[in-house]
Amino acid sequence: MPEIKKYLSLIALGENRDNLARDLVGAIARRGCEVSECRITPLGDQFSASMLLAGNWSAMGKMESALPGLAEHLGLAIQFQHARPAEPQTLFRPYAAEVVAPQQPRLLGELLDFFTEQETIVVEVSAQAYDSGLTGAAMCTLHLALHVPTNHHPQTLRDAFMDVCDDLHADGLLDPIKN
Amino acid sequence: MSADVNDPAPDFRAPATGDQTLSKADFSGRTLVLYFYPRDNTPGCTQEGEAFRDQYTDFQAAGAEIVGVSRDSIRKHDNFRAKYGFPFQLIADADEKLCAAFDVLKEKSMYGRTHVGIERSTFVIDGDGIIRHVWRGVKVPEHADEVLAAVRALK
Repeated sequence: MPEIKKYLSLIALGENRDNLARDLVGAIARRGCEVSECRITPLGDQFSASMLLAGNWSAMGKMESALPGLAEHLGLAIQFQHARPAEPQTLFRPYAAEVVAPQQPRLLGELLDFFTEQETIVVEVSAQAYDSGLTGAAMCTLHLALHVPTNHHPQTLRDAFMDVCDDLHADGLLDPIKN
Repeated sequence: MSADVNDPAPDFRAPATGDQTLSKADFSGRTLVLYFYPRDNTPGCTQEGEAFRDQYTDFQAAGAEIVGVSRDSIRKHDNFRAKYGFPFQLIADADEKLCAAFDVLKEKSMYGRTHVGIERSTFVIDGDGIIRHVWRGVKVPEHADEVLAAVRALK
């Protein structure tokens, strides 16, 4: 009988230091869990990680029991809850949007409004504000992963996306994700 | 095609919000502010519609009707109009005939790719069907004020 996998989602946040990612991932592996999905990134001077852990019933029990102590040991705030793997979304196709624009507080919100209006689902967002190394201008780069209904006409969506980018004084790309 | 000051406005007949069909003849004897915008529910287009909405009674007092035009569908227009409480109608120019007649379709380039979109433009057409004012490449802030002043000056 195949072993039933259990899943645990967790987010961890704390002051960054060297080797923190290695220490966290190592502690997970020592309890018999595997990292099924993971995003680790600095947020300012803070370390942040979001993960989906998978393991058998026993490993997951050990992991859950260990997390409060592990959080204290690593100096992290950790929240976790039981999870399931994402369901296939066979009525959608994946697209990636990239937007580069002068930094403006409403940029991300306007783009999320736009994609919602287009009946697409934004499944991932990453945003990075920075001062241009060449000009010093305050800029922002956004990457979004989208689920676009398969019955949407791609060129119509792309035209609409280019219109909204034009309206926001942004450069934008919208392309299918090929895997 | 061209649509310049002192030209007769191109004839049109097009589907609009409120389950209507609007034509140039519907506005005979009245001033028509026909404004073209790229897309419903985008920031600049919303701001522009709101500015015309907020001064709608002033436009009416000056004897003018306002009509917006984009390539969005009637369904999207109806939602856009209801969401922001626009008191004027929006034409759905899905086949781009009206945009072509008023020469507002322009090639835009982004990240090395080109597409054809609507250049934000406004036309003031007098009661005789003559174009009296044209704004192309409109910047939204203060634009409704400028159009209202032009409409008032026609009287």
